[in-house]
Amino acid sequence: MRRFLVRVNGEEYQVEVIEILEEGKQGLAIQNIARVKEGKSGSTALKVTTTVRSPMPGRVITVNVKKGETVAAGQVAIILEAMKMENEIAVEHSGTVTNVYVSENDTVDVGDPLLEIEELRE
Amino acid sequence: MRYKLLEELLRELKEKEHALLLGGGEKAIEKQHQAGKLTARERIALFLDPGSFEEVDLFVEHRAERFGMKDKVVPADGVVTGFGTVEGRVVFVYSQDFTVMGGSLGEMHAQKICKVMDMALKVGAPIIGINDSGGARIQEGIDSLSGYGQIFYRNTQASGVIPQIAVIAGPCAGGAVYSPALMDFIFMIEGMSKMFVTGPQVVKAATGEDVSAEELGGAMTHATRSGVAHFVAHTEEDCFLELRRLLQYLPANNAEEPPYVETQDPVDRENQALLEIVSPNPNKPYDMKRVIQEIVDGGEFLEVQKDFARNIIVGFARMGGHVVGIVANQPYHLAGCLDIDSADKASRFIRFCDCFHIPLVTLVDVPGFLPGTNQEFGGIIRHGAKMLYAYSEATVPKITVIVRKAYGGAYLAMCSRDLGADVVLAWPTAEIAVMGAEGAVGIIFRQEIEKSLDPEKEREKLLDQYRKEFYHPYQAAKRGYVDQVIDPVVTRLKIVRALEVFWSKRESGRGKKHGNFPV
Repeated sequence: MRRFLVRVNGEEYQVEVIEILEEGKQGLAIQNIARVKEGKSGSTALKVTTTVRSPMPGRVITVNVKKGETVAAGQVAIILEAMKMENEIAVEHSGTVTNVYVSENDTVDVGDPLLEIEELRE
Repeated sequence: MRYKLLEELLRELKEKEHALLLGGGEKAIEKQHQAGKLTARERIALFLDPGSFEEVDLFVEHRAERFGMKDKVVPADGVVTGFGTVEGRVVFVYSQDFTVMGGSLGEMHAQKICKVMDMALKVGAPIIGINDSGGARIQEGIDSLSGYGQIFYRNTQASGVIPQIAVIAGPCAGGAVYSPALMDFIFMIEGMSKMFVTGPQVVKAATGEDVSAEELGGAMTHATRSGVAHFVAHTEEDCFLELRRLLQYLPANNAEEPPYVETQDPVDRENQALLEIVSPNPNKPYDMKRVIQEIVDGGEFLEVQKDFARNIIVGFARMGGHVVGIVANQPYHLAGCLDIDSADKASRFIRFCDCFHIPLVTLVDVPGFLPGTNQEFGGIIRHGAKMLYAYSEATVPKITVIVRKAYGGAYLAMCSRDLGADVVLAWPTAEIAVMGAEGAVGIIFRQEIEKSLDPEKEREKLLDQYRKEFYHPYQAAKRGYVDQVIDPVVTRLKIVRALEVFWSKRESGRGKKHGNFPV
């Protein structure tokens, strides 16, 4: 669960956002979108947080990214060994890696979070 | 000299036609255009060869009396029906007119649709239904429901006799969704098409869920999640172009052969590119679509359901001029495994091809069935069974190429020799086995490994032994499960030759009523 500041018609609300995942669906990326206050100028940007999830049960054999690193859409972030294949898990959106949930040799199930990527859009 | 009376009669006819051809009137047409939609007649004109349309039943009127219907004029009863040609080949068409009572389906509206369906069946020509309707015409009560029922019945009777294609060019809700669902292919248009059994308001009332019409039943939903849509287009224009393209691959009916088109692409063109596309390391993924494009005529491939269950690829192409249906595992997605959705997608495609004499070319690189509770609870047993059934039942020429992995039940399901493949080819990279080395060695030699002084070393040795035994196509070739082990560069040539030889094969059924297809 994460907390967000949401502004509706100039009024600010603090909200808690719970991610609802649909079991077993292959939607690799679940996005949380929130409008956040940026700096003192009061300008706002759209913060898009994407969680990259495992598409199938398997074992992580390579983690190519670190927390804080900038990644580009299409970049292969993780290699997941599953079904006799080294599956390349690519990032669907450019941004900054804010969390890496797995390390090499970890076993993961369908839908387990692998990475979190945050992108600020003006 | 012309008769004055005749002239008057002709003027009367013109006037009547003019009024009826305007459908719901200029205002309603403008509204339809403002919504970014073409009218029912504009759609037909866009889709058919210019000037080929012959409309029938323009003068049909409803006979409802209740709820203010008695004196209500409903031009053409809200649906345009008739026949015309697409690249010179006859098709029958109906197009619901949203400008007339929201395209709602009443008794006579349904009768008109049924009439052109009957005509299409009689003639043996495809039927195209363009759906843009608010649903049943409530004022006509049970008669409009009966109308739907009669359409469903005809869809089922026509199934496997003539190709049936639905275009969803607006709302299509409630019972109305089941006519497209009974047809062979569904086209949807982004931002315009909506299909659901119960709409957002009903969902909200029943479950409290807030969901937009687009999310619940828009084109992307049905293209990616439900698998209901087979083709999605950005615009109506694109949609009808794609539909014309699809028709080029289909015979007019089940007694005809699919249209042969002479090709400039040499049958013996070597497929050198394949050596680079497919890594000999079985753990490395690659894009199977590139393999398909390399071997088919001119690289032209019309993919069906391309965004749904992407671990399997299905679609139409030509090889040596002959139409083929291609079924191929996609190692790029979910390692190319079989699961509930991919089995479903492939089975329906295989059965379509078999109905219409379209030979099947199967490209195999399958690691197995996807494990997990989702799959087992979701019924992978009964869904996977569909593939076995569909391939076994199909009597069209069946050519199988084992590119790399072919494991276990999934190997059998991908049109193996035992399911009646006519020709099975394998690349030297093929691996055909019950299961992978790790799993197999763990089961067969568990005790030996445990008892060994150096279990890890023993395990490695046994793994190596297993790989030597099974990680190649020769075990299967030894038993005749594989006919030929081939150099990948001659894949195209070998497939075309097999197609041409087995085109004339004869297989007759058992004379049963029909089988019990697992659903």
